[in-house]
Amino acid sequence: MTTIFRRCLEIPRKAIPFCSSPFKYTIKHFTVNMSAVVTEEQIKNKLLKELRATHVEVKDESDGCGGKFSCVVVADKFEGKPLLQRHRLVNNILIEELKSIHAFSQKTYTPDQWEELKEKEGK
Amino acid sequence: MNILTRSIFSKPTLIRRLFSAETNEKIKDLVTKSKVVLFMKGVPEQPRCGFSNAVVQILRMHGVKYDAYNVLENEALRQGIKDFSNWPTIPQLYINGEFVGGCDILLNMHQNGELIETLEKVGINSALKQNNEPSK
Repeated sequence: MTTIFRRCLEIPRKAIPFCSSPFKYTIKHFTVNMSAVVTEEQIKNKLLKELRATHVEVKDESDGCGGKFSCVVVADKFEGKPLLQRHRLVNNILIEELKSIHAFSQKTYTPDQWEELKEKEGK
Repeated sequence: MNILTRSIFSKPTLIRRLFSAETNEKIKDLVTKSKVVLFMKGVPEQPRCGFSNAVVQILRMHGVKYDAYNVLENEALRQGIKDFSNWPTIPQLYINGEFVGGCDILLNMHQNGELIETLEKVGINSALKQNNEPSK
């Protein structure tokens, strides 16, 4: 419980007005930054647009806090690239979002790999 | 203590910049000091993040000896390693001074056997390999 609370506290920490004591924070301090919270839609749209991904699944695992995401990305651009480079591609596109995301896990596939995987799971 | 160091490092960017050159040098030393180096949250005996824990468990399965650095103890290192590797998340694994990846990548390498090969290239015998291929 405390870790969840702490995570939520940490995300907008840069923009929160400084308080001398942690007990002096009120709800106002936090709601100021609500627009800065990253959403599933935002990540998905960015990947579709900038990576020209053919398929994106984003899952918010932070209960709306915007701190923890996992995603599946399928794109032609991954063809012939090792995993590290694929992840770097995604990371670079989401560079702004990742500043406020705490936990981000990704699975990156080429369209062929994705088809193969779907077939396997279907059976 | 944590809050104090955080406010010092997150507020004036000038101080941060002055430190970052020095931190970069230090990190370079750290990653070349040992063949396998892990930057994680918490310590291997008690990881404080699920992803860090996963990497620790994988390395344990392979019986690899490694240097672990707790980024939660050092705010300069926590930011410094992200800048150094150009990688936004912790944990981060280095083998032979080369950045390998985070939890997702390591898990993938573990599953498809690439990790055993990578370790072998730097002269480390994975415990899992010995299990699969009994002595010739």
